[in-house]
This record gives sequence, structure tokens and C-alpha cells, in this order.
Amino acid sequence: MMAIAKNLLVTALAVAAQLLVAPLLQIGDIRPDFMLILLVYFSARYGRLAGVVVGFTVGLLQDVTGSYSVLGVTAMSKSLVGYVAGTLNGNLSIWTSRIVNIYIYGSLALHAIVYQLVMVLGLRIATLELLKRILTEFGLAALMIAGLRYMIPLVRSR
Amino acid sequence: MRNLFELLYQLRELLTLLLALLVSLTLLITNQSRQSVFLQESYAELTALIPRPSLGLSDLFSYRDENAVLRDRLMQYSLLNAELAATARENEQLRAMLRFARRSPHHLQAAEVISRGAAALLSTVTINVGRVHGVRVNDPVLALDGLMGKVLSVSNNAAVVHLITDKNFRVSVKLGNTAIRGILRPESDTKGVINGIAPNSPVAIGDEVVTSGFSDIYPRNLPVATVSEVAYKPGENFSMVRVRLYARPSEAEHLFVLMGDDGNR
Repeated sequence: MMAIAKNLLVTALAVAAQLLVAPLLQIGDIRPDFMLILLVYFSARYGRLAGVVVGFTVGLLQDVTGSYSVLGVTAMSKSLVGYVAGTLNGNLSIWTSRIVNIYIYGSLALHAIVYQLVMVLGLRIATLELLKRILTEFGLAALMIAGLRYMIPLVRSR
Repeated sequence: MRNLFELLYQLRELLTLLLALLVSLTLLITNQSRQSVFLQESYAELTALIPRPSLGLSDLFSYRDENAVLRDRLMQYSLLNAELAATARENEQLRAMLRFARRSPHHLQAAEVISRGAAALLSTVTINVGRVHGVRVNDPVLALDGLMGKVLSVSNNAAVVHLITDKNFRVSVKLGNTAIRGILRPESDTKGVINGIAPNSPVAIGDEVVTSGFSDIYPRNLPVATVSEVAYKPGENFSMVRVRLYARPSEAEHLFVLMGDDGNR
């Protein structure tokens, strides 16, 4: 019960942050994605299956409610993140921090790449601009994750 | 079945991901946004690629049928063309024959070769004129180029011509405007030899060979051949003069029978 409450609380915080804080930290038209952080947390904690389900659901909700999203794109990218980050489940205490970081930041990078690539489909956008968008999104997410991990370590230090 | 369920269970995470991706993509491509339109176009392009080999295959079959029809037409046109060419050639030959008949001081009866016999060697041909046309045995037969032979036998409407290329054919000839005379006998379809030419006779390659007139059959000066080689072996009594015959029996289609003043020579 406690776990459920905790999860609900974390989710509520993430949604609130996404609605209230994210617009304040917006760089250009790119906002920090608190839901992505939530997804990585859930995936690492509950595994791939939960990660995919949560990722798809959260992504779809974002797509439906987002003002500039394309229906399906966030669901797709977040499903992928859920799967990749879900690999961490059960391995956090086994793998070295380097591998864990690769998975975490790799999943963030994957999200940024897939999302931005799909979003610029059909647009004549320079490669440099696309790269800038990907890096911006990845940078924001990575900063948030790094901050949160600093405050709330995923694994207690051995 | 149980193994299948176990396998599905083991792959549940991956299958869930695939399902999520499938639904996401479906949402993307059924949407009307710019990105969705682009994805739809890409999808259409991709799906157009898939049946392309089969389309190519059906095209190949249709091309094959079309090719067969065109080949058939080409054959028809080739035959027609050959027929037209033959008609043109025949027309030209007939015109030449007409000119020849007008130019010739002799009374000529035009004839068409209707048979070349069945023998391995061409020694006679049958022409479509005979006794009713005034043709008689031993009448000389000419082609446009020169002497072709003589009439061997005659029926009412046909005659058999003994060709100059037959090995038993002999004709008395002279070389050009000189008084050098000899007997020509054929060696092959296009070549012959003149015997009886003295070694010191002024014979040169290229000299024209015509009938000598020392014959009851052939009048004088009918063109026969041209000198192609003159050879003399020391110790022999005569030079050997090889000639190239004018007549081409294997190619002849139209001939003339040389008639006398009374319908015969």
C-alpha cells in the first residue's frame, strides 16, 4: 500500500512539475520532460514490461494533451525508453555504475533522437539544427536525472 | 502449445514493446498532421515497392507476348520485303532482256527457266518455250551476259537446255578481235579452258572470248567468257588459257533462244 501511495505521489509530483515547472525551464520550444524522468524511475524499479506499459500510457497522454505533439510520437519514444531503462531492473546492484549510466543516459538519448527525428519529418531542417534540438532535449533530461540521482540515489552505496 | 505459451511469456516484454510501437505508429500514420502525412507518404512508397517485382514480372510476360507479336509482324514484313525485292529484281531483269532483245541483231525468243532438274550437278535446265514457239533442237540459248548453252530436246511447250557448264559441252571460240581460235570446255560452274591456242599467240588476261562462227549451231561473236589466266609449260604444244564464263546457270531465271530468220536461225 505504501508503495502504491509512494508511486502515486511521485507521479503526481511529476505531472505537476511537467505542467507548472517545465514551461518555466523551456529552451526555445523544448521543455524539460519530467514524465521521462518518471518513466526511467518506474522502469528501473519495475522492469521492462512495466516500463513499456507506463511509457506508452504516459506518452499517449502527453500526445493527447500536448499542444504541439503529434499523436503517437511520444508514446513510441517513451515505450522504447521504458524497455531500455527497464533492463536496469534487477541489475542496478549488479552492474557497474558506468553500465547503469549508459542505460539511463542512453535511454534519454534514444528518446531525444526518436522524438526529434519524427517531429522534423517532412520539414526541411538543417542537420545542425536537428542535432541542436536533440542535444537540448537530451541535455535537459540528463541534467534533471543527474540532479535527482544526486538527491535520491537509485542504489544505496555499498 | 505449452511451449508456445512459455515462449510468449518469456518474450512478453518484447512483445509488449512491439505492440506499443505498432499502436504508436498506427496513431502516427492515421493522423493528419504534417509528420503523419509524411509518414503516410513514406508508407505508401514502401508498400509500392513491395509489389514492384511482381509488376515487373507481369510486365515481363506482357513484353514477351508483345515481342512474339512483333516478331511475327517482322517476319511478315520481311517476307513481303523479300517478295517486293524479288519483283523489283525480276522487273529489272525483264527490262534488261527487253533492251537486249531490241539491241540484238538476232531473232530472240524469251523464255523462263521452269526447272533446274534434280541431278547433283546442274547440267541442264528446262525452259517454258517449245516447238509451238519455233524452238528447235540445237538452237543456241543465251543469257543477258552471254552464251548459256543449246537446246537439247524440245517438246511442244518446253525445251531442255544443255548448259555451257556441263563437262560434255564444247564450243568453238575465238579470242576477241583476233583470229586465234580454240575449243572451250568447261571446268566448273564459272570457269573453263580453251585448248588449241599456240604458245606464241598474243593472248592476254581480260581478252574477251566469243563464239568463232565455225559451227552450224552458234553464230559468230556471241559473248562466252573472258580470259583469266594464260599458262604455257615448256615442251607442250599449246598454251593453256583459262577463262571465266559469263553465264551463271545457277542464277539464270530468264533466257533467250536464238532463232533463225525463218523462225529459226
